[in-house]
Amino acid sequence: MRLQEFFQKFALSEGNQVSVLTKKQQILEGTLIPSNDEGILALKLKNGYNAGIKVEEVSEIKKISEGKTVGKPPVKEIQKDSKKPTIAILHTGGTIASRVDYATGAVYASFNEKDLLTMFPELSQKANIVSEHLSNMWSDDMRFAHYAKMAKAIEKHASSGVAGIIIGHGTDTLGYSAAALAFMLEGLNIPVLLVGAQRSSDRGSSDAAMNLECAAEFILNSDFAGVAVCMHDSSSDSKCAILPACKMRKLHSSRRDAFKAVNDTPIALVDYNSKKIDFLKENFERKSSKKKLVVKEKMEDKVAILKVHTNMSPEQVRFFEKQEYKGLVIEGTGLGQMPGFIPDDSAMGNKGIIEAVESLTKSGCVVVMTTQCIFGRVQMHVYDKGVKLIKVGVIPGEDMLAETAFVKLAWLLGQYPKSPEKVKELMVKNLRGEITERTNFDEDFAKEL
Amino acid sequence: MPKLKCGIEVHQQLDTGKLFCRCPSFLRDDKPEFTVERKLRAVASEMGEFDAAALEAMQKNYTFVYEGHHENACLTDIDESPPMPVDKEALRIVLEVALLAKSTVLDKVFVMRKAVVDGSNTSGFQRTALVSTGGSLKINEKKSVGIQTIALEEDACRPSKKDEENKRIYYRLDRLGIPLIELATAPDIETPEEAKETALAIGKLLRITCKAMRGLGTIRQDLNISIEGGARIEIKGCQDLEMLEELVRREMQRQEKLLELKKILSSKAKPEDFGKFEILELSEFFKNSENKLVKGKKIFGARIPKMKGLLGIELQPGRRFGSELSDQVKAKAGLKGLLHSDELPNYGITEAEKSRIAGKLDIPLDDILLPYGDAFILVIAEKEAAEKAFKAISARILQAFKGVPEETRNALENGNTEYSRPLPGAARMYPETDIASFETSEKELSELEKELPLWPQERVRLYTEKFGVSRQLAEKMSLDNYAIFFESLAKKGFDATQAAVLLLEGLTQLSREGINVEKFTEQQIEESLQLLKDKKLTKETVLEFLKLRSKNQFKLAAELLKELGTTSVSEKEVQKTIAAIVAKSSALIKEKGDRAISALMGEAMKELKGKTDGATISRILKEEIAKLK
Repeated sequence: MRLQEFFQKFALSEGNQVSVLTKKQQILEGTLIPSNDEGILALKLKNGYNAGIKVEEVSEIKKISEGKTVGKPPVKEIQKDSKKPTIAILHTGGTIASRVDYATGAVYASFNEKDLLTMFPELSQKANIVSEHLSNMWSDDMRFAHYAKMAKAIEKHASSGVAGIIIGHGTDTLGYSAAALAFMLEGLNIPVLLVGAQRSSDRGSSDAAMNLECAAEFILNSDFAGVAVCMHDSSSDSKCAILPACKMRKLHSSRRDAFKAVNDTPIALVDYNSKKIDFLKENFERKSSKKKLVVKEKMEDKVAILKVHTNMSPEQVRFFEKQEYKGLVIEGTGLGQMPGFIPDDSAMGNKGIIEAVESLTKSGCVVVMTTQCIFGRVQMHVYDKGVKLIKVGVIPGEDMLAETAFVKLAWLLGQYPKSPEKVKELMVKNLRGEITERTNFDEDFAKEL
Repeated sequence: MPKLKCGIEVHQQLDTGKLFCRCPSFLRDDKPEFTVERKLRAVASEMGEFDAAALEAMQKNYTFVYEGHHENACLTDIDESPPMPVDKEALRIVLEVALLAKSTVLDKVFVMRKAVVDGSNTSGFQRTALVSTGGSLKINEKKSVGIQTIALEEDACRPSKKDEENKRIYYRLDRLGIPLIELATAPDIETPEEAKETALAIGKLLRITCKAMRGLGTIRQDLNISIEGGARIEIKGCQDLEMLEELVRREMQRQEKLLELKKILSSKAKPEDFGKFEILELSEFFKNSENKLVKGKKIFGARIPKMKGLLGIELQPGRRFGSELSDQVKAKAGLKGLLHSDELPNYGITEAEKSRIAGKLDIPLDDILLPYGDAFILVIAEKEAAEKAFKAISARILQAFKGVPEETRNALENGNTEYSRPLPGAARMYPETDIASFETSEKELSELEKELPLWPQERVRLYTEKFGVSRQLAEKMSLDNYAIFFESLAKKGFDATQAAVLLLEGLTQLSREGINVEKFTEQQIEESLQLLKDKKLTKETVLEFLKLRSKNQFKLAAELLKELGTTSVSEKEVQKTIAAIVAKSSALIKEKGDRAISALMGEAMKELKGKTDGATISRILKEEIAKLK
């Protein structure tokens, strides 16, 4: 019997207190909780443990009581203090704003400011908090329209005079959003910090509170204006790094300090204990009375990233021409290479790849080369393959991250839909810190631990 | 004797890999290779409220420092990577224990998170899974004790040190994640003696799996105790089996005395008397005291009506009702303790000072002399802490009107206990969403059933009757963690006595010589027994062979035998010999370059035959040639 029929037969529903006798003479008492398996009856026992019994193993079941429904937790009322500055917190979803329903174990998101301040009471000591719920999604479901929605919300809150804005964001595509906002928000005169969490807020060890607090601290005590990211600088709960929006990347699937500056340094470090801000850069965008925010949110949808790998075929490139793509970022190997030469008979499969790239650029698609090495710069004159690719119209993407180049390309194509030449010109020009002319020597550029 | 209801909860570490990562389970006391610092936050409960204890811990704003070594603490241990599926061997052991105890295994097992706020778990919770319920265990000829639950959970970090001044608590990561079987009995234990017998029976049950870790700290017992009219008390952290009886006896005594106190208290006072105390600062009385404890300190006191004589009632040997109040003051106000009039004059406070304080607190002098008059309590504290302290005292006295308050207590070394925290509720458990729940199939269980570990007496019979081992050896082996391995060796046709002697005596001897015998794999031990069987080793040389093996994990047995058969020389001597060969062949080397190596290698091997191994010769030869260049 399926669980649903079983519930109907015995007039049961989730939340009921029941006593179960199994065919193995096991007696279990507890609350019926949602089961993700149609053949299993799931119970929360009195001692707090969850236990599962096969539906066909149930010999007797007795309802003891209807049980209480678990409502939303009560929240604290907050007093606004006119002397304190205001920070706007915009929610898009993700781990940072999640909380477990203890009865069912489901994770749900809390967005309103009362929920937020119940979870992070420290925030209200520093500033008045206003909050807006933009979406509730895993960040990998985000589309360009969501970036535009965020940009518009930032414009609205910025014009209301907030000291800064925090965007709660899922970490998986946080880098794309940061870059998109950096390009869209021209003349931004307040700090906008994207903040995520690698451990959900429902656990004692969550990194959410520290990331949020350090972001608030940085907003209130620096003259930085622009988009940046605030996340753990190390595995310890000691410092957060303020990372440049266009030159940072999630480099680890699970660590708190997954986000690192790439081909760049963090703007600043915020000490969680002393609240001291230590600037590592001087040439960052500062607040200025001359600045005026203009939101340029248009982006071209027909843009993609192609990751180069061995054993490629020309069809993989031709696809973008057939589908009439306007822009393509190639994540090439090393200094900006891709297969296409035929050194021996076994390499015949490479035939036509470079021709396909040429045909693509001739069709009007802007093709930009970045490196899948993540760290370092493309330099396409070193090998004749690179020279050849430039000849067929590929633009070297300097030291831009592939993701940043992708966002920038889509944004430029959105801004100059009629002028691919303008797009090509601006693609290699630094607009928001996405390209640096020189790279510092870093002794341990990707060293862990 | 009052009627006792008592249950035991045993936590036994398992000698398998860690439960939710693939780290090995062993402890290291040397200097840590890395440290990670974390804060823990109180997490709102299911009702959206912060747990009082958790909030208190958070307000203390401790930094937890986790110390570890790379070989036995990984990303999962420092809460930087999600947990991996349950260790298969640990799960098998817990299922075996459930089957042996006739406990019914759940169709589906869910891993839960149990909130822990003292920093001993990097995640802020302990992962635990209920595996079976019910069952029973024979504890002596006449009696069986029921089993309530058997669970599989991860051990916590090992406390290392506490730096109160800088609010830093240090933990070792090595113990975190080591699997624990948690076996809880029904409250069927009726005498202190039975408590000990039950613990012994559980210990035996766990040990026959051959995967119960041995040694101090590998098994911990908690007790649940109540007497008729009393209340459930959980006593934590009893590591010494010998103390169990005494702990039970003394807890029974404590509950009896608290019930007596309840009677007296109800007859002569009302709860309203203790609702709130008038707190006065008394520092001036101690300005010039001769006692350092109180001299020049901030001291607050209050009159405690009608408690004269009652504060001094002895609940356990050396512990009075005043001690219970003192526990509360420690836990709730963070003070070191209190002074009460029933224990004065003492601690450098004179009879005269006592009278003056009584006067100041409006306690009539008569009361000081009469039984059951008013008493007073003093605390050394700042005003705010003093207020917290008297609030805690008031709450505890009000509990005394009801008898025994339910709570968790810590075992002290002499068998007494002290207050530790309120009983944990079921609310602090929530599902571990990072691990899929898993089913236990009938097939899996019936296969395990066929090969369950034998009980010690069954083992002795098998070993003596079938394997032909002496009774003395058989008895020793039946309780050893090598018992199951030994059985498999005997069944494979190895000489059982030879195997038993090697496992019980040989390895012990090697261990005494400083060799870490725990690192030997079963294959390595079997290898040496095979060589013994093939007469390639003798009883005398087998230990020498194992010594070599302990230093050379990956070498072939033949190579080790070769080394064993010769007197090896020091590396320095080898180097000297090779240097000489290289020196006289310098012309050849110049001519042929690296190709000269093979020619010289042959020569060096000939000269050093049996004195060292080829790899060493080749390495040193290359080094010497490199010197020439």
